[in-house]
Parts: sequence; structure tokens; C-alpha cells
Amino acid sequence: MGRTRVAIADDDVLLREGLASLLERAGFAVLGTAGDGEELLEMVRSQGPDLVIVDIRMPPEHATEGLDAADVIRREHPETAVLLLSAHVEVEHALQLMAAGTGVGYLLKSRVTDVEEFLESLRRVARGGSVVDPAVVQELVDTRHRNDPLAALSERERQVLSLVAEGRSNAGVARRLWVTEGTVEKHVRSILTKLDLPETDDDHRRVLAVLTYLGGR
Amino acid sequence: MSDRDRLMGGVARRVVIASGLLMVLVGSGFVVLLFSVQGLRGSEQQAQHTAAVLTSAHQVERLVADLATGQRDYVITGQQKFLQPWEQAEVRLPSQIASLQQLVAGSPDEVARAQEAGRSITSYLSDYSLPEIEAAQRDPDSAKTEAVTAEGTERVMAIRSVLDTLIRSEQQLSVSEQQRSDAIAGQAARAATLGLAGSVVLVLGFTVYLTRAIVRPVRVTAEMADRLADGDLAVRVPETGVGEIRTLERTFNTMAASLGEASADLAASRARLVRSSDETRRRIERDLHDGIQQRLVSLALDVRAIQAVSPNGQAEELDEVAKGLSATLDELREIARGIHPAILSQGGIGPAVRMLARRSKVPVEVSVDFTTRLPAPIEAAAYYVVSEALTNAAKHADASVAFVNAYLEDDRLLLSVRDDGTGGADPSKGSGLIGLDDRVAALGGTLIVESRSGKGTTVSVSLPIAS
Repeated sequence: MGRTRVAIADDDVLLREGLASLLERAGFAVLGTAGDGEELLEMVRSQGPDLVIVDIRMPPEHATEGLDAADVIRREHPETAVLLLSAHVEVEHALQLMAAGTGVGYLLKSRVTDVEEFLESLRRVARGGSVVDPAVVQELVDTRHRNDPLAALSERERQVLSLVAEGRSNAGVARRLWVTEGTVEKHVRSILTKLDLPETDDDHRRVLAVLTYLGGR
Repeated sequence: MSDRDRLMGGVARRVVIASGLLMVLVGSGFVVLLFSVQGLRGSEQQAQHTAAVLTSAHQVERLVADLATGQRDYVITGQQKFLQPWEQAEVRLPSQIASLQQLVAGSPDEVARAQEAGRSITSYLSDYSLPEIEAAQRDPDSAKTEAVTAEGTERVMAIRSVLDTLIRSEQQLSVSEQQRSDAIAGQAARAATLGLAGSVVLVLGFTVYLTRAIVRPVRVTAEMADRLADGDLAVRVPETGVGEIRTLERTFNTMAASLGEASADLAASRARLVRSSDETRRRIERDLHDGIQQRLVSLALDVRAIQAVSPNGQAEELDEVAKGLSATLDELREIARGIHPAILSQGGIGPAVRMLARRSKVPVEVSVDFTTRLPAPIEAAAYYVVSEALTNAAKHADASVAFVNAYLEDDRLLLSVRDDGTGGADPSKGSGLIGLDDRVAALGGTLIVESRSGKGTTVSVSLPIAS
């Protein structure tokens, strides 16, 4: 398998160039950069990148152009992975993107400064996995509800649930918590039972189920 | 003032004219009464005079009768004692006749009769009675002849006749005077009745006129002024009065119109201020997120790039710098969110309210049944109302749940935030809801806070969308 071919769209030149050089250094093949959604779509149609990194707010309206472009890309090129970068936490946007299919990610723009974690997220998305910003998950988990089923979870289980919602596999969760994968599996099974969620081997379906559950409580 | 008004004059002139009319009517009634009283007093004096004349004339008649009786009795009996009444009458007659003449001095006719009576009596005394008595003293029989007695009777009859004529004439005078005074009294009664009726009619008419021309318009204007004071700036008074009243009505309407305009101007100005402040906040938020944040992220990327090619010791320091930048970015996001919620511009009321609900310390159940985007000022007002109400529910109300409801009906956004907390909140006491009331009012909407103690708090907002 060759280098992952990436397209970057952000209206800030400095940022997208900085990102491009970071990715080049990390072994990604940067096909090109775009300043708005239209440019990005052209690039995707002509060059068919494996992964696109898109800023949500771009010209002309500085609203949700990136999200709209991601929707189009998901429809026209379902094999292309999409990582959305947002200037601020927006749960609804994240949920909308997650519902669009596999190989998607939603991160705060500032996460790029934690290089290792960011590159790991990129690779996960490129492999068809899911990435959800911890701040999004945090907001969902912290939401107060009457008769909240989450109250039945232990502190450890809540940690595991959050990491699962961020799109991590059992192995990924295990690495973060310094425990064995078997322990994580046990926790996950317990959590799914307590929340009455179906068990599944598909990571993305699991993330979607958990997020939908959290968002729809 | 219209030509009609100028012709009719002001209210003051009308009142003066009406009062003058009333004064003339009442005054003339009194003048007629005064004259009648004067006339009645005259006729009373006449009656007294007549009584005096009659008394005097009867007195003279009685004295003449005494003369005749005394003389006859003396001549028949020859006794001296019968001559006493005669002598007394003879002494009193001259003064009695003079007194009668004096009483009737006003009427030449009666004076002539009184003088004739006086002369006849004098003649009776000197030409008949005295000679008779002397003759009787000399020769009683000669004096008792039939002829002599008949002459005496005849003379007395003549005197009586003159006096009776005088009495009748005086009575006639008295009767005609009585008739005249009766006529005057009738006239006075008629005048008084007419005056009274006229006064009543005039006063009634005047009262009706005053009520219609002054009291009613003033009352209507006062009622409108009350409504105006209560904030109904659309009230106007019908301009139906005259003179100063019409001026008052017109001035009131002008004033109400100015108030309405000023109030509309103020509302528009407040709406402009709110909109401009919202736009400024939105711009600052965008500048922070898309300007400063981008720049900081770029710098952090540069630091990471240098870090990657740096020797160990230096790389660790640069790592600290990058982490510092990352922490700064977190703070920056917090600040930007406080200034303006980006989701409001991007997603509208539904997503923005759900975001507030997720971040609320009190569980919130949200029901927003529309995804339509509304004008930015309305979305902002709705957002800040929900935000403030939820903050209050968590901070002061000790609520365990809150419900947010929003729906569109008849071109209005109807929004309510209800909690099950302690209630009893007084929105006039330093609550952030006052500022929101201004914001809602600036958009022509209403904000109502119901917060009975122990019954929770409900904040309801109704905002017109058409704009």
C-alpha cells in the first residue's frame, strides 16, 4: 500500500501550508490545497484523494461550507475519507457527519498542534475508522438528564464509553488506559448491557450507536 | 379654527352670552314683581283712606242725627236734659266737618259735596234748629206745629243725601282701586310664572349645552388621556368640540401622535442598537475563531516543525511552547463562545437551544418543532432568553428539570422556558431578564415572567417574525 493521498481545504493559507508540510514530513502525499469548497470538490473529482481534510467555515458565507462539501464527497466518492476541522465544538455537526458513513472524523482545529495524536487520528480515518473530538464526547456525556442511565456506570466505564465514542477500537482504548484489551472488552460489554445497546464488531457502527444514544437521551 | 368656530366664538363667549340671557330674564321678572308690590301698597293706602272717609262721614251723619233727635225731644217734652246731646253735637260738628273736608281734599268732587254738607248743616243749625229751640222756649206750642217738624225732617234728609252721595262716591273709588290692584297682582303672577318657566327652560338648555359642548368632550379626552398614560399610544379623540374644547382635542391628538412617533423612533433605535451590538459580537467571534485562532494554530505548527528537527533539550522546550499555545487556544474558544454562539448563526434556534440544553446544569427537555431560519435579531433574542432562563433555573431556582418549547404560529415565534424550581423570582430585581425584556420589546415582542412561589418559573416570549 502506497502513501495516503491527501487533499487539504482551508481558507487560511498559512494554516493549510503548515498542515501540508506537517503531513509531507509524516509521510502523507499531499495532492494539493484548496481555499474553498468548490475548489476542493474539483480536486476530489479530478484526483480522487484517499483522504480530505476540510475546514468547516470557509468562503463565501463562512458558515458550514466544509460540512456541505463533505456531504457531497460522501455521496459522490464514498471511498474517500473525510476529516472535518472546526474552529469550535459543534455537537450537531459532528453527529451529522458521523451519520454520513464510515471513514469520517470531526476534530477541533487546535488538535493539529498535538502532532502525534492528530496523525494517529488521520490514519484511523483513512483506514475507514471514525474520529470524534474528545470535546464533543465530553459535552454529550456531561449533558444532564432526568433518570440518566449513565448514572449506573462506574467512573472507569464512563472513561471507556468516552474513548469508544471518540472512535477508538478496544486496542486503542486499552493503550490509552494502560490496561489489557480483555479488560476493555469486559467493560464495553458491561456498558452496552447497562445502556441496552446492541453488541457489534464494526467499530463505526459502535461509535454511531453510542453517539446517537448519547445525543438522543 | 374653522370659519364656523370664528363666527360662533369661543366657549367663554358662549357662556357669557347664555349667562347674560339668563340674567336679563330673571331681572325683568323681578322688575315686574317690584312694580306690582308698589301698586299693591298704593291700593292698600287707598283702602285705609276710604275707611277713614267713611268713618268721618258716618260720624257727621250721627252728629246730625243727634241734633235732630235732641231738638225734637226738647220741643216735645220741654225738658232741658234732652237738649244736652244737641249741644254736644253742635260743639263737635264744625271740627268733624273740617276733618271730613280735609280727608277728601284730594278729590274736588268730594270736596264740593263735603262743603255742601257743611253749608247745609250750618244752615240747618242757624236757620232752623236754633230759632226752633228759642221759639220753643218762648212758646212751646207754636214750635210743635206739623209744618215746623216737616221742615226739620226735610233738612235732615237733604244733609243725609249729600253725605250718602259722598260715601257712595268714596266706595266707588275704593272698588275701582281694588280692581286695579287685582289686575296688577294678576299681571305680577303671570310675569313671575313666565319668568320662572323661562328661567327653567334656559337653565336646562344651558346645562344640556354645557354638558354636550364642554363636560362630555372633556370627559372623553380625560378617558383617552388615561389610556394614553397606560401606554396605548394609538388613542385619538374625536375632534367634535367647539372653540377651546376643539383646540384641546386637537392638541391632545397631536400630542398622542408625537408620543407614538417618538416611541416608534425609540423602539427602532433600540432595535438598531441591539442589531448592531449583535453584529459586532458576531464579527468579534469570527475574528477570534478564524483570525487569531488560525494564526495561533499556524504558529503552533511552526513550533512543531522546528521541534521535529531540533536536538533533544531544545525539542522539549519547544514542546512546552506548543502545549502553552494549545492551552491558549482552549481559553480563546471559551471566550469566543461567551461573546457569540457561532451555532446560532450557523444552525438557527433549534441547534442553538439544544446546545444550551446540553451545557445546562439542570436537565432540559427541548421541543423545537421547526428548522426554519428566522431573522438574526429574533434568533438572538430567543437564544439569550433561553440562556438566561436556564441559568436562572440552575442558579437560583433549585430546579430539577426545565422545559424549553418553541413553535411558530401566525407569523410569531412563541417560546417558553418552564422550570419546576422554587419560583417567586422578581424579574424587576436585578435579573438579566430585564435587559432581555428590552431586547424583546425592541423587536415589538412581549416577555412575560410567571414565578409564583413554589410553582416554578415560566418565561414566555412572543415575537413577531414579519420583518
